[in-house]
Amino acid sequence: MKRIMLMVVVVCVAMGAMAAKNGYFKRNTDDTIDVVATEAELVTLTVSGNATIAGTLDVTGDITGDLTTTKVKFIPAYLGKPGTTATVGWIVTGADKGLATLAQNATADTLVIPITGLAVGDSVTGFKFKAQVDSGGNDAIIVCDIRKLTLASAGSSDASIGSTLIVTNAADAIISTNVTITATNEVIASGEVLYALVTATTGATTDFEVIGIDCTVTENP
Amino acid sequence: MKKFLLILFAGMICMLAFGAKNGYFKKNSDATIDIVATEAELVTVTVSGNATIAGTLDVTGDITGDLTMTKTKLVPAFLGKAGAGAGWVVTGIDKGFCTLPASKTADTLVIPIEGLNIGDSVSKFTFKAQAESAGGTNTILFAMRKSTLAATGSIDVAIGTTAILTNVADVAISSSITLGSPEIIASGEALYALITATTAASTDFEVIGIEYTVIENP
Repeated sequence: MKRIMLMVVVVCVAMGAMAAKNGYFKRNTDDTIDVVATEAELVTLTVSGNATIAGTLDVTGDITGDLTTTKVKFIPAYLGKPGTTATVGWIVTGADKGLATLAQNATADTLVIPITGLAVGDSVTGFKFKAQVDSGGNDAIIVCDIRKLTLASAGSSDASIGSTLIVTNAADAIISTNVTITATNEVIASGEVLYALVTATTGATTDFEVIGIDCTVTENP
Repeated sequence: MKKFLLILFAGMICMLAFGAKNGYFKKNSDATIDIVATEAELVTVTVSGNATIAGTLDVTGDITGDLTMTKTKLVPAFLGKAGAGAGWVVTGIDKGFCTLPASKTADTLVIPIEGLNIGDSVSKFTFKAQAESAGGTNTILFAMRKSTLAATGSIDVAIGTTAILTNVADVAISSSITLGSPEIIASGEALYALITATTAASTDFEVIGIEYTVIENP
């Protein structure tokens, strides 16, 4: 009897040790998961295949890997500069506000805004143009054209990747308009740069303020 | 005897169930840790050490931690401004690049390096430009410089420079500066590119931007 009891104890201890591995994780009543180390050497957590976490991953140390995240980045219009056409001229300096403005009675005046914050390999899926029109009872027209420069020995090639035309409706309004790009997504390659070409016409007593452009991008797709 | 074997078997099952919890992790011979889930409802994982992801970790919610990633970021040249040696055109054109027209001598263009955070480690810069020759010769020099805040005026030093590039034909330029040791960005520091170019008659330059390699949170 003692021998059998001893065997039971030994087997149970062995099973416990084997089952625990170097630690375990368990679900708490609040649906979080705690990873509990039974050894002090928990230095690196490696996921060799795929893992899906529907909640939060909280890492006290470093996370090393190729992180794929989708963000909506904001490009301030204040980074822009007036373009070729300046019948009245976009104002991007000499004002105490961080926006670009175009006064009344302008005809097809252009503003160029560089698209910043991108990295090689990023996948851009859309833009949203953010502006405001003062109407004074008149219509005004603004176009946001997203363009791509590609380095070439004969001079950079320049092509539109998506554009939107906005005609205001004789009333003060917020403009928040999607610029749909031609391709499903624009994957940034080395030697490429994106910019926005904004062209606007204002009537009497109308003006535009442009505050910026939202850029939806998947990093490391 | 049969009763004892039955008890033994039941005990083993109980230990397995107890030990497995909702999953387990185990240390491999290379000192990495594998996580093995026994249930699908893995909602939140808290790691007290480091996490290395060789495959894909798909997190629907938030990731909280100190994420280390290497990226090649783009700085549009259009953020630049003409330097002390004026002549670079950085406004008044409907294109998102900077140009230097013909017959200019040692004109300078300054481009701020945006997108950096304190603690980032920068190791390489690549300048993307184009030279228009028309049979003439033009030259361009790319330099990376660092401004460091100081009471007597910011300290300004070069951290890397290319050789002078001489072009006698239309060419797409992709010229790199690899730093001898990575530049770790500290508070009170700013990087910028100083580009100096000379054009002959009928020649010009376009600069579209700078790509730089950075490790975030090294």
